[in-house]
Amino acid sequence: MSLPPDILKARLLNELSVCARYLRRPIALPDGDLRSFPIEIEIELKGVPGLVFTDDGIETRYEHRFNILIGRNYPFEKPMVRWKTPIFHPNIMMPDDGGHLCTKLLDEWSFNSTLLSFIKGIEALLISPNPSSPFGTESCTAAAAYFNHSKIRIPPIVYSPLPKVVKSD
Amino acid sequence: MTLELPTVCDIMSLRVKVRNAESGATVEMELESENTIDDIIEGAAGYWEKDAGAYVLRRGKRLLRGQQTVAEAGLLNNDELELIPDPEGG
Repeated sequence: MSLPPDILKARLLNELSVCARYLRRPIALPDGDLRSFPIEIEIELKGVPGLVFTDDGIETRYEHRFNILIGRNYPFEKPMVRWKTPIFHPNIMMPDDGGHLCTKLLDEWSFNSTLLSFIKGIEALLISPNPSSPFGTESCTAAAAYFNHSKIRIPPIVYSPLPKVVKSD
Repeated sequence: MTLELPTVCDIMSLRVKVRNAESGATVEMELESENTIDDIIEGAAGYWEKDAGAYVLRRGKRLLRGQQTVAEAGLLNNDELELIPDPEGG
């Protein structure tokens, strides 16, 4: 099942503009007409704590990237998502392992799901992993063990204040 | 003339706005300090005729835990919360 092209285009443009506003940065589109599918967009999360494994141990990074591949049958069909930056998370694979995400947001994707609610959910997933059901990759099982056996929690979120107009002519 | 003093209930209740992340719609809810996050999810999900079990609540980017009370979660009057689909991994 698929939406008529014009309606799909309108929905996607609307969704992407809402996402860009939320992320506070433009989202680059490979094809401005949104007529060649699949459409691949890159999402950059900033200010969201997520763990990464480095030579020095486990660190927290606040910037992450993932790609969303939207097919012609969106939103009836869920988008494909690939994580692009290093990550130490039981439910998100490292990019080298495929960058797959295992989350209810994709498993239970429906017509009412939106890219914005998906992005917000991914932010929540970064902060609240589910170590009881990890992927079988080395990094995911190691992350699950880490979250299961340590009391260490993801550090608090750092909010940068929005610039405020204090005087205007 | 009699002056009506607020009751304990009036003092303890607070008002929050819950935003539906899928539609952008909002609903205002009045809470008592003993209400739990699950109560809020149930109330908001019920209002929008959604399955409460499929949603979680967040304040900013932080998820709120279901069994926490309003007081334990430190909710304040006029806080804006967001109802998002449960992202549970695995």
